[in-house]
Amino acid sequence: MRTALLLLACCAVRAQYGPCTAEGTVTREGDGAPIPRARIFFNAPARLRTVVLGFISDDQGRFTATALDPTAYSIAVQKPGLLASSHSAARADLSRDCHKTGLALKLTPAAILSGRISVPPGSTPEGSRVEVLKRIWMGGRWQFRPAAAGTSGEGGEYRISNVPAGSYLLRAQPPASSSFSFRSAGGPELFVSPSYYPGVLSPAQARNIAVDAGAELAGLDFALLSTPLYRVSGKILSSEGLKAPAWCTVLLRSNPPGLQHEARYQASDGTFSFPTVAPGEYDLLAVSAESTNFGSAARRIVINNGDLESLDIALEPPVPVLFKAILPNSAASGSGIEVSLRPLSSRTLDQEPVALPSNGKVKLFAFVRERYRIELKTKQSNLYLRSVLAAGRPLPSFVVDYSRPDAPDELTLEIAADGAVIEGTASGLSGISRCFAVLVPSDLSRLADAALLTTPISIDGRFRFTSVPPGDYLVYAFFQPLSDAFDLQPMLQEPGWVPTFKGLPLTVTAAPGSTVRIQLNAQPAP
Amino acid sequence: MRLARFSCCAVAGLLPWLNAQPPAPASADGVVLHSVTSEPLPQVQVGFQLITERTPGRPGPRAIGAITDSSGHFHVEALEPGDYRVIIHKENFGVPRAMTASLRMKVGSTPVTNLRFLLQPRAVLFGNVVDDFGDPIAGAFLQAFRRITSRGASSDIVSGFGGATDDLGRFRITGVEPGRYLVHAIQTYSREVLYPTQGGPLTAYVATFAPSTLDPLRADIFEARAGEETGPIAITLQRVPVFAVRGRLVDSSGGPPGPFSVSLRSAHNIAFYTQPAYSHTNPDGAFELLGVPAGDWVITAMLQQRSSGARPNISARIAVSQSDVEGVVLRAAPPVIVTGAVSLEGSKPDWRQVVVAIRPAGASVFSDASINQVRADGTFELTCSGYGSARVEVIGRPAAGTYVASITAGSADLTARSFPLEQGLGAPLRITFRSGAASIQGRTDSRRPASVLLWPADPDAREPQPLARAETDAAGAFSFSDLAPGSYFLYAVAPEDPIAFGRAELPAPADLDQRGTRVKLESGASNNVVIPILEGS
Repeated sequence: MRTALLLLACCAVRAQYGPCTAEGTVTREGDGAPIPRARIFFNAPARLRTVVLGFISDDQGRFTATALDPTAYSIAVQKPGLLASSHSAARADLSRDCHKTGLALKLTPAAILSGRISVPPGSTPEGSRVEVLKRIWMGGRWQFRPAAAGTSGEGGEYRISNVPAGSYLLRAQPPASSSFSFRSAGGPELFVSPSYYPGVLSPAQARNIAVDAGAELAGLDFALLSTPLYRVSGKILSSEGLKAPAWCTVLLRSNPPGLQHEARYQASDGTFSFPTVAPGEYDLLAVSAESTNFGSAARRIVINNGDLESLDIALEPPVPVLFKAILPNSAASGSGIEVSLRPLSSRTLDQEPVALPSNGKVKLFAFVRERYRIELKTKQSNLYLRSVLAAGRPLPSFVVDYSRPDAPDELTLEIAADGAVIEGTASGLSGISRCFAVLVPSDLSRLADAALLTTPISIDGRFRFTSVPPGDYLVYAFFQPLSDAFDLQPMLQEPGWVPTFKGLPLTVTAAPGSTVRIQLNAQPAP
Repeated sequence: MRLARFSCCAVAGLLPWLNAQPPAPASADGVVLHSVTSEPLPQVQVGFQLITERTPGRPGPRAIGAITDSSGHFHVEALEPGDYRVIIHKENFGVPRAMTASLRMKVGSTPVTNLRFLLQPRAVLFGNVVDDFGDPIAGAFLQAFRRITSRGASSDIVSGFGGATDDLGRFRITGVEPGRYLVHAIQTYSREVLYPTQGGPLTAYVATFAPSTLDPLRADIFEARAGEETGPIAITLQRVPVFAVRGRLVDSSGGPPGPFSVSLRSAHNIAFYTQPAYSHTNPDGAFELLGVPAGDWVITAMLQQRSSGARPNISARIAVSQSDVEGVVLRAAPPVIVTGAVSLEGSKPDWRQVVVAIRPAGASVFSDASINQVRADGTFELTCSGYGSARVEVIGRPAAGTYVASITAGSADLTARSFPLEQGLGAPLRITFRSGAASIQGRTDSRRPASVLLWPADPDAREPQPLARAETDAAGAFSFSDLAPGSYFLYAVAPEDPIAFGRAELPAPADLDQRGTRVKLESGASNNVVIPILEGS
């Protein structure tokens, strides 16, 4: 703890801003009607200690942006009830043209969805979260991501604005106060479950809602459902006729993700049970990792309106994979290199990384025959995985598919010691958000199946990437409101969002063995 | 969920639950009543949630519940023995603050019967937020501020209720506890945006109190009444000139301090602040804050390196007027260590009940205000840092009926006096307790709630802030205890009076002698008083 002594200088110097300007118009897409009093934001990620400058269009939709620096800017436009059109200018490069004119910013009307959520007797509809879901491909399967969301008020009314045109499902989640089950005297145990419009438990039965630009769709009423909880039970059958393993993890993971149950497992007879499960679709995973009896199984199950019992789950032996690492001479002893097989789908379990011994050979096991990415983890910040070879041929994006009968059981890891460090700070972070930094290889043609390096940004805006393969990168800093419960980091690690994202990155070159320090502005997550 | 490779399995140790007989589940029943009318409340959710340690990535334990019938009764079965949190929910109702402790209970193997819970009807605050053009603002974040008393000590401004505007700029803050509130809006999606003006300073939208002021002391106060809606509350979000604050943080030798961060908070004693748009620091100590509106602020620099588990920070007050502020220097210096001892004339003391604190006095700002419990042998040690005036506060009493007779450091009498912190005390503190404490029981003459401030009658012993402060109950009743014999002035103000709202500088009212109520306390006596609420002070 330290005391402070304050000395003030009385001179006042106003902040200096740039000499450049940009002019343009904001109009509505389609009829070209001018949009008055739209907010136009100029954000220059590449400029150290820059700020986001805002301007307001006049009654004719015209704007003049001043005090800009001679650098590249990304441009965002906001007006309640309108969304940026895909045909809107999103960037302005003032490094060569310091007085840019003719910027055409277009907005398209946003849609509004509204309705009422009703609830079982005794529950309260206020505070239900209502989400407009769009389908995205992530984690090896279709999942849902909220495109917009709202919260129901008293009486269950909800109103969700700023919805882009598209096709969606609507889902309501009960308020936290409803997260318990009820049992009336002599009756079954009931649970208020999330539901999909028009009032079903499964997304497979939900009705797609087609939303046109600017539409106002009212009357989208549906109910949260009070459902009985059911029992799921069965037996684990060990592979090769062995008796049931003494230890087995049996999980139920909901689809879409969000809920996970772990079973009670009885080693004496290999039986398992989940006593109280809400209806829906699940992945049942069973993994045993005993030294003499190990295997795994995955199965998709659907619980509708009754217990699911007598499930026989046969464990299959995992695929052993021998890794041989070629280590650089400069790899320090104790550099703590660990290797892991990371599943690309959620139908299996993550495994703990395994330490690479000094002879560079280690055996891992692919539980569940799925696709995996080989990953390296190390304490030495300059080491990274340069390539993974199977029979002398490099594996693209370090991905191997163990559902194929010809999948390799021996892999060679080429580990390099000229990795770089990229560290920096992100500014413009809202105080109520999660934040992540992402590195995207600037050669976008090689993105397919790649895993993008992501890292959380600390509350004071700092982040650090280590073991970065040398090369050119696009760096982004994203923030996500805390109210958005979607697990963003896995989505950012997959490159699917990159081609359509319009925000401006910072371009960085990571030279071999270098440490690069950067500062950039954060932007809303894709 | 991760799988430990080749995890070791000890069968006997793995499955103890197979052999043990689980305890029989119990039941719980009771009634839920309206806190004002005492009428039974039907259709109330009552849930019992087992308090267990949560595993990250797994949902918490499910609560088992029931719904009250038409007579307000509930019955819950299948409760395993353990510690429970009771969750009670009904739309437009809430649990009174005084009842929250009763929502945790232990359940054994026998039925829990005759539980009685109260629910208080809540209020709604509604309105709309527009910008300086009159256009609605979507996604603005609203907070309702109400002053409450924390642990019987002086009041803090807290925000307990909030909401957001919809696309039409409308908001409804529901579930509001009855009381009087300030309402405040902030634009979330573009809070870091600065708007240049032609030939003028940068501007930004800043947190605004209803109807359109940055100053909470000038804001409208809204009364939230149980079961009623108050509004419409119209807020025009203000766009004001903003400025830069630049300076340097140095350590005690004048050198660079290493990595650090800076933040700003309002110098008003109100739990909100407008975060500046941008905060930049360099390890060499230079810092820059952009987007700071005019006003009084406390700037705090927080060093990244940790010392003895604590993160050092340095605070100072600054005033931003109509231009950038340059050349702010925050200098870290060694902390001030205060040692001392307590004594009690007469009874046998329990020093574990006594805590000594060094607090800022007046407009002073401390980096760390120290508080520490007195040891069993009656000694104590405090470490604090800051600049400006400090005062000694003694919390708790070593025995019933005792009071603080004197606080001295050498020849300096600090009983009702502050001292300059950076100079230290020059001698150990001596705190003397005596038996024969006096007390005051009273009420406001209108039987309305108020904040009651207590000052010594001796003007020479009077500090700008009151000696003590008490909040009345809903019927205007209050009490002060453990007072030294002597003469005092009592001064009651409405709970949301600017003085009572926690303004750091509290001038002793110029007309205290005329408008305050004088009370003379004898040793061991308890005086009863009825006092007016002084309006418009």
